[in-house]
Amino acid sequence: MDTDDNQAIQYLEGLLGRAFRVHTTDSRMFVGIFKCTDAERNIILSSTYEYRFPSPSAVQAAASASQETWDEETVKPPSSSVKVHMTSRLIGLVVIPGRHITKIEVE
Amino acid sequence: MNKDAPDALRYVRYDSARENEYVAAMRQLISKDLSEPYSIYVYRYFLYQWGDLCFLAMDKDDTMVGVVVSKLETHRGGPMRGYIAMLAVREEYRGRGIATELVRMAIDAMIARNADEIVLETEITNTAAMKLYERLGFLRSKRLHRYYLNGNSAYRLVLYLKEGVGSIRTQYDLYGTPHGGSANPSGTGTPLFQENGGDLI
Amino acid sequence: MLPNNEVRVPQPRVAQPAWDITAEFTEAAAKIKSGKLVKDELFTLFEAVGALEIMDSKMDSGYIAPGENQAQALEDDYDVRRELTPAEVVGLMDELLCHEMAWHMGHPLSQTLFTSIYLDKLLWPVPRTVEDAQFDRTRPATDLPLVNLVLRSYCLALVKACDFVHSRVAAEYFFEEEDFVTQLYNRNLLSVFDPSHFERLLDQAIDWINKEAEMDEKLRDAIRSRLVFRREFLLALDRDLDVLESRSTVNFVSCLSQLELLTDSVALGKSVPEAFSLKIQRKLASTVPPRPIVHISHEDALAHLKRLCQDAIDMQHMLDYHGPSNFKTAVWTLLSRKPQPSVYIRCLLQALIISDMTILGAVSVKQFLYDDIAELVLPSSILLQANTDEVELPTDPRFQIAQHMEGFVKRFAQPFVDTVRCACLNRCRIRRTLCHTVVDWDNLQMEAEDLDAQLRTLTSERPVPIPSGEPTYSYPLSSWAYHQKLIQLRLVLQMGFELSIYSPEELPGMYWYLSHICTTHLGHLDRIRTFTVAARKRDLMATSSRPDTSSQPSSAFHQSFRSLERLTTHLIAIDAFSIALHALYVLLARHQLLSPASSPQAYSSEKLRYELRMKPFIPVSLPELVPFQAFQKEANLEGDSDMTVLERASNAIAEARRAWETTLANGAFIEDPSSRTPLPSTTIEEDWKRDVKDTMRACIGTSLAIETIKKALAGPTEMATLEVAIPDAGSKARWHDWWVVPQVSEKKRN
Repeated sequence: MDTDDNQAIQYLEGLLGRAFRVHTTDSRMFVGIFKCTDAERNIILSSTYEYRFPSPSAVQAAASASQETWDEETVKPPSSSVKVHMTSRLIGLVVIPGRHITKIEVE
Repeated sequence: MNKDAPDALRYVRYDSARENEYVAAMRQLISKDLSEPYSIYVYRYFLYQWGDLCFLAMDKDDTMVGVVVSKLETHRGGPMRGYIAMLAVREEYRGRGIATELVRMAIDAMIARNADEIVLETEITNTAAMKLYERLGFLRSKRLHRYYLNGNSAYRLVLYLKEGVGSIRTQYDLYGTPHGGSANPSGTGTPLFQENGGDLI
Repeated sequence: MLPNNEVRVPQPRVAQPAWDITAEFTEAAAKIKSGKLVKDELFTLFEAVGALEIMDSKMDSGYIAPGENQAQALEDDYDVRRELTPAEVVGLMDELLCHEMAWHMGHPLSQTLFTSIYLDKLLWPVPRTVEDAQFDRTRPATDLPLVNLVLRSYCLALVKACDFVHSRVAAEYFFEEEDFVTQLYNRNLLSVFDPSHFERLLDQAIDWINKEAEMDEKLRDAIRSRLVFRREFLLALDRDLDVLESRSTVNFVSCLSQLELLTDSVALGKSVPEAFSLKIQRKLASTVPPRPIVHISHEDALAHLKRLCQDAIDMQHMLDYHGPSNFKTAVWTLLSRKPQPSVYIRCLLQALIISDMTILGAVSVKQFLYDDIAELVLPSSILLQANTDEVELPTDPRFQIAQHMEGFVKRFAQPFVDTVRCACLNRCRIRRTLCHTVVDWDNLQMEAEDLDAQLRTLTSERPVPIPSGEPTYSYPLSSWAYHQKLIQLRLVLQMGFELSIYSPEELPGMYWYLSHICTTHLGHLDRIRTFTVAARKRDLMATSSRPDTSSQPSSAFHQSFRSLERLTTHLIAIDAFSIALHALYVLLARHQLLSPASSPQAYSSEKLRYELRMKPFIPVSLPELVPFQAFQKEANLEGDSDMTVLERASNAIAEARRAWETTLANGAFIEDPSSRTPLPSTTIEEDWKRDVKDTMRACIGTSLAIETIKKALAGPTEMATLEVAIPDAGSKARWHDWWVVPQVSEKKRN
């Protein structure tokens, strides 16, 4: 293995155990602990929460009835200045196939 | 072997050099047949560790028409236990003994690696599979209530390959005791490697 | 593990900063060699197998297919505010009941009740007050009492009923994941609210419906019966343990009577399929793959519910303790009903059988254990009477006996109670549990043997000559333990027939082994009887020298002899029937009338298959596993001619029929001789009789098969013209699950 490859592996190994946010082609985001990957970026996350951007109608409904959104997560996506309510749920241990990944973030 | 097989079938051992091509074809074949869903890492688990216990049937165009996936390891510090995890044959190729041939190849390979016993589970409604294995000398050792996600029960089928296997002591069977609720280590409810109750194979 | 394995991980802090590493990660990952992984050292590939694959429709419960509208995929168009007709309300109630029963049967909430949009709205977000739990919390409720009062109260009471069932099942020690899914997906079944809220709401709804003069009478009655049922069911579940005190099953009884009305009016309902949706699964906290909605028929749901209520009612017939064998018979009989009582009933029964080390809320575990030992081996003995409270002098043998016996109780009470509780498991688990406990009891027997040896010096026991040998000691405690073990070994074999695990070619051998265990057991009972007779003689001699004799020991001996007699008759019946079937199957096998499951090209030999089949018996030291050669000789009746074997079958089946007649006449329960009033006849007793009668039918079937063979062997028809069918367990032709009676007939000529 040449040093370049070695460095790449070391870089990835350094990320193990960190909290990842993996975005997928269907505009969901998965937040969980990075456990494993292969060459195709099939990423395994543990204790994963699925976050889904609300549908336009839900946003509207939430805006009109702006009270009572407890039990939902209030998040501020990094690229946005508008507060949106994302629904989240625990889904546990998941594999996110590389071909569906649009963005990987580390906390 | 199959003298009357119309198309010359080729039986080959899995080859890790052709991982991408083979795994894709296997997944396609298996997802059609089995009710339980398996992720890419299920295949990794078996093929990275026991690729030599995986056999494929290819038709004359080199299309995969059958596959058997298995593993072999010491069971709770006791016997060397083989496990047949998946077996699938393309529908239009069934009834030609392909499944039996694949299973025989897997068993022979496990025997060559000093297996003491071979186990597997099958849905109690799957009479074809049960017949296949029973012909090969497997016995139903127990029935597993509501084993699959679809609520169906299973039989555990076991084949002893050597005398004295039944007397080999295993470590204490944590989940086999009558005491109650059980942990599910993989958490998916996919009973690929556990009896219901989390009895790790 | 906690029965409710909900994962409660703190919500991640999404508001934290994060860095985009997509490019670096992708570039680095591309350098991983094929066949290699980068993974956490502590994270195994085995664990990875449990990961659900995102974007795979079979595994990702949040997956939305391409082309599916995102908004529509998540939210249902169904309007919970809409007006419903009375027929639709009936339809919805019945559909919900089907889902409730499907959940009782073992399907997860995510595929049943949690597919209801009405329930989803009530339960999510988690309501803080009962008032919160509305179909639509964002706007004031519409003035539709049929929806907002009737349907809502029904739904809330249903959820609360589920809460009771959930906590009953989850609280039990003996419950198995495969029987029941306790997963709540981070929802709550209104557990914080007192049921009285919902009872009040139901009462209001019932009042309202009673005043609805406009409504079609049949529909009004249908809705009313459903509301009344809900109230009664909720009350019944709320007070399920009270039955120990009250002996009242009045709520379950009224549930049953409402169910009659309910069944009759199912057809009036109009289904509202759009009020149920799989999309809700996309919002549940779920670590399992998405699964389709489970649909069970109204018929099946109502049948399940009726059985549940009936089982709960019948349970009260076993709540009075009438001695150990009656108690054990009642528990086993009730739990062996077909279909097996529901998980809820089995869990309730467990709680009633034993809680706080008390049997049926009345008898201490120690007393139960002592009663059983007294009945079998020690009708009147110092061992069971010694008490450290009365004798406090440590040098007194009675003090030492009491101390030894205390240790015995500590060690044996739990495993003994477990032999009874074991019946509460599902049938597959019962057999597997027996395979484990039989080994435990093998060890317990050895411990009891040591204890017996120590105790007999303290009691100055004198050996008794037994018919076939040297004078020997009675070994009462280990004899009792051996008896338990022999019962378990027999059940392991018998439940193997019930669970259809034996292949056709195993049937002769398995029936031979069953008779072998019975014969061993009968010999053991003879040995016990010898010592009880000797003890009785000693007792009579002792009492004749004393004028102030009490009748207590005499009655205890009487009861013990009677119990031994009953056990013996029952074992003879099983033994003889096994011998008959064994001989019959030998003949069928000899004449190639049993088609074997294994082929000549099988990898295993008969010897290996025998070893595998008898694996549970291998670690047991007594009785020893019969070696293969001896087994083969016996199982095939080697050296016996067909006629000899046939005669053996004929004689045995005749004896079996007599012994089963006697068993039936002996009845399910032992009457207490000290009590003047006979035990009341109960449905459990009826079940027991039915079971014996089914066995007798199986005997008759066996006689017929033997006759057919006899004709074929003797006369014009030949064996080769016969054909054999083996009825599946549970089928009508099977008569009894434990007795695999072959149907032998002449081949039809075409």
